[in-house]
Amino acid sequence: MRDSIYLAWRYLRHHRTKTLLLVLSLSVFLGLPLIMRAMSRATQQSLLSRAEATPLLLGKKGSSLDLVVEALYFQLKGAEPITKADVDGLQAMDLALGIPIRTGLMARGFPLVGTSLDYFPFRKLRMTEGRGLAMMGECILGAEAAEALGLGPGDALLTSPSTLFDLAGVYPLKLHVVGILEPSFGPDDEAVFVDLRTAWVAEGMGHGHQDLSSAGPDVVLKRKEGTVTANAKLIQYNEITEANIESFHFHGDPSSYPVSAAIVVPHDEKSGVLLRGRFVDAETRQLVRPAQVVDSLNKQIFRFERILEIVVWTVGLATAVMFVLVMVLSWRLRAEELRTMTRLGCSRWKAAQIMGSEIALMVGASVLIAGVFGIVMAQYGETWLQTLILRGS
Amino acid sequence: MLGYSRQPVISLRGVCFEYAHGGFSLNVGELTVASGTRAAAIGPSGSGKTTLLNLISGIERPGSGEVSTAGVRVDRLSSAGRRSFRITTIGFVFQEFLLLEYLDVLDNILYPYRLHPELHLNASVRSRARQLASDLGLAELLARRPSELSQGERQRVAIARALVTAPSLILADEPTGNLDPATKQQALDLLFEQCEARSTTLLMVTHDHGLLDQFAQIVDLETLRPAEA
Amino acid sequence: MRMARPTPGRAVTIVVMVALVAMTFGCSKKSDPIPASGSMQPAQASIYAVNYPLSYFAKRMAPANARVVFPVPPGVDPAFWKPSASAALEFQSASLILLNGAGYARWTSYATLPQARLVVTADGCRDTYLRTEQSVRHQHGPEGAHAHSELAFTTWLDLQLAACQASRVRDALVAQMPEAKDSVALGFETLERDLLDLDDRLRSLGKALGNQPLLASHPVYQYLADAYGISIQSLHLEPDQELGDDDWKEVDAMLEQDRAIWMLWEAPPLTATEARLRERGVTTIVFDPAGQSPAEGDFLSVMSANVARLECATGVKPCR
Repeated sequence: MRDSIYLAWRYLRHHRTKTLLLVLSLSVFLGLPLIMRAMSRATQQSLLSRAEATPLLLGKKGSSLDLVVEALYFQLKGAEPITKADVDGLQAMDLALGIPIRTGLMARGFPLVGTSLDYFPFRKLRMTEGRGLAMMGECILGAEAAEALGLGPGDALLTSPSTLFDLAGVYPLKLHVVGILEPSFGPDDEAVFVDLRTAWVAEGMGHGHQDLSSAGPDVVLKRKEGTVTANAKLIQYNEITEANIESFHFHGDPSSYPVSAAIVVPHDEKSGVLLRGRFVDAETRQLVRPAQVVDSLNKQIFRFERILEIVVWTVGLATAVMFVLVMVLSWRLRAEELRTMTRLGCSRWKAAQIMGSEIALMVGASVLIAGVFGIVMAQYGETWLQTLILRGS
Repeated sequence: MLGYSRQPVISLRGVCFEYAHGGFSLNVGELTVASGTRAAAIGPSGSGKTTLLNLISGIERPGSGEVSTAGVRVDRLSSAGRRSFRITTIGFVFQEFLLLEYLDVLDNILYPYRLHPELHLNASVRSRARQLASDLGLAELLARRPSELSQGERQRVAIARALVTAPSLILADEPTGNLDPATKQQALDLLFEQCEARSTTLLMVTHDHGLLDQFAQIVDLETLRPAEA
Repeated sequence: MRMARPTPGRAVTIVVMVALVAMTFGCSKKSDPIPASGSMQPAQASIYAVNYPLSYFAKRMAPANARVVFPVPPGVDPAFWKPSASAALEFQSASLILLNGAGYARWTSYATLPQARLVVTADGCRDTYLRTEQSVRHQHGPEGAHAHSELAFTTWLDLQLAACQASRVRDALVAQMPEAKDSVALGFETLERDLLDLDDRLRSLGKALGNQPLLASHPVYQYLADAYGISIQSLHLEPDQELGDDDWKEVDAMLEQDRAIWMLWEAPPLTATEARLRERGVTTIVFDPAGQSPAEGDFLSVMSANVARLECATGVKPCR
């Protein structure tokens, strides 16, 4: 047996390209279900872990999945917003901490997320460079966003207009990068975080302009008893700076301004129960448990995964058939070698043993590669795949 | 060489062989080759030279008659028996050398030891193989692949492979057919030298009548009668 | 000399060892993420205030191990202070941030502060805040006219409102440091008594003044006027600057409209200004709104001195 393995090994080593290709294709065939299962688990775990880390979510009545996806994963789903008054009202109940989340705009391809300071300790986010938000007009970048954009503290970043061809729409707002977050292997890595009010300014709900009380006649249309009407020449600022920050203001009552959702962190279990009770019959608001929503989503993924497995096994079978075909053709080409072996005195069984050893070595190598890959995936796969999923999302 | 036995190493009597698909048959009335003899088998193409070698080595079995090689009735052995007998008793040198490209020179020489459980590859066999290689001028080429060797060097490797099991009989099927004249004689001289040194009987199929005077016995398949040189 | 080629056994051994190494590394735990900085509460309670009165109230009630911080530099009006980013970050580290309310300290409307730790002390102490007299409405774009309206924000000049603000501070301190509930309550009791004493004096003053109008150098006495029924007409004059002709015209116009004989100034005006006012029959009374830390004394002594000067000037009480 040793001699058969030796001859098989020498043959495979000599034809290393062919051997490598066959081994790799077999490894893929064996490893694909492992990768798929690991990916599925990583995806589900990635979704679930973020959802489980969020006790409750307050939003407008409607699709709970859209609410969760938008508030937790910053994917725009067009869910109807609630208002700042909802968040303030929640705080006033003194049962939970309410963390507002405002999504809707992008900044160079990355979601702009308006929130409060409470968001960062809640998500256990830490700065790796620079500092946290201190003033309106500033932004903090997630690790992936910073790397992709090549930005750091001191740089500037423009928000993207909400619609490209809306000439009467909101101008981009120039944000000042003040900090970069450490990687957290979640949606936060790809977000641009701003103060909630900055998000509102970026959406055009607040603005800053030159002082009308001292504005020249080229800007003022008319002045009449304490009312000044300005024309289009009035300079509106597209950047919040130390010099003009006090000119920024909001029209109307800011408590009526939109908030996509509020993360609700009950003070304790009893408070959480009381809160859920208060929203059970709410007509226009819903208080959802993200973990429950994502769990039902994962069940759907699980069903799809089963179908995918059938496809993978079919592909695997085709790979196996191709492998056998390659081996058979290879042996045909080695007919003279087989004849020589026979003439020298080798039995058919021994010849089969040698050929079989080649297959066994290749299959063994594939199993080993797939096995090592599986072990590594089991240890690190979740992290890698979460990053991959995050980059691909 | 003195002292070697003059007993027949090859003995065929009343042998009839026909291929299953028909079309060719070989009949041998009587053929003996004594031990230690350097014999040549001649005949036109299709006369059955390779078939004769196959019968002697047990690769083929006659329809009738007796085939005795190195004192063993090969025609009476089972397939397994004939394989076992062949690999332990007979060495082959092929016209196309039939070396394995994926093995180096040393492994090619030792190849027969990997093909049959009867042969055990151990340190003394390796040592013998190295010595054989050295005798054939291959000592510096042991790690090379056949494609890195000249024709003559490859033939010498084939000869070494045939001799490594210390066979009683070497069957060479046109071993110099692919060599140029200078290399051909060199290879032959080496083969003759090694066979004589080991008292190994040599039966060589050849088309080259110019070589016949170097053989003690000529087997003419056309006449199927041994003709004394 | 060529090295011996690896045998199958050796190759398998190498691969297995690689697998074992991978498993070994895989057994190491992932490190936990470290919480975000900037909004963590310190081990020692720290109370930051946006103006001096609130920091005074907090100091009167907070336990000794709490740190009360009023970081506005001297000479800077806290209402219009523009802190740097680092100053704003310092506020983020506070256990409590005492805001006045009524739009006081505009910087709090654009700085990023931890909402859960903000205490808007004047909220709920009145039905509505007072507005300043001059708020300019302007119109640009399609939204229509709107005002950057200024609320009057010196709420503590209404001493009952000040006591209400102090009670908010008390509640916030007790929530933050429940173990100091008793000492905080005691501190509030004495503070409230002091504030309400001043309130009584001002009420008497208001009654004594009746309809007699007063002038004021700046529109910062709205709550004083409203709470104590004092009629105050405000100008925009700086105590440390000479009044120009336009200023005097404005003064004269006001005097013509309302025959005021007293004028409140946040700080002593220039001697020349005082003299010219006297020529017009107007007596200067310094009434420090006490929004910033005083050079001497504290909030109570400053307010008490304010009231005493008013009492003296108006003859309600003898001058000391």
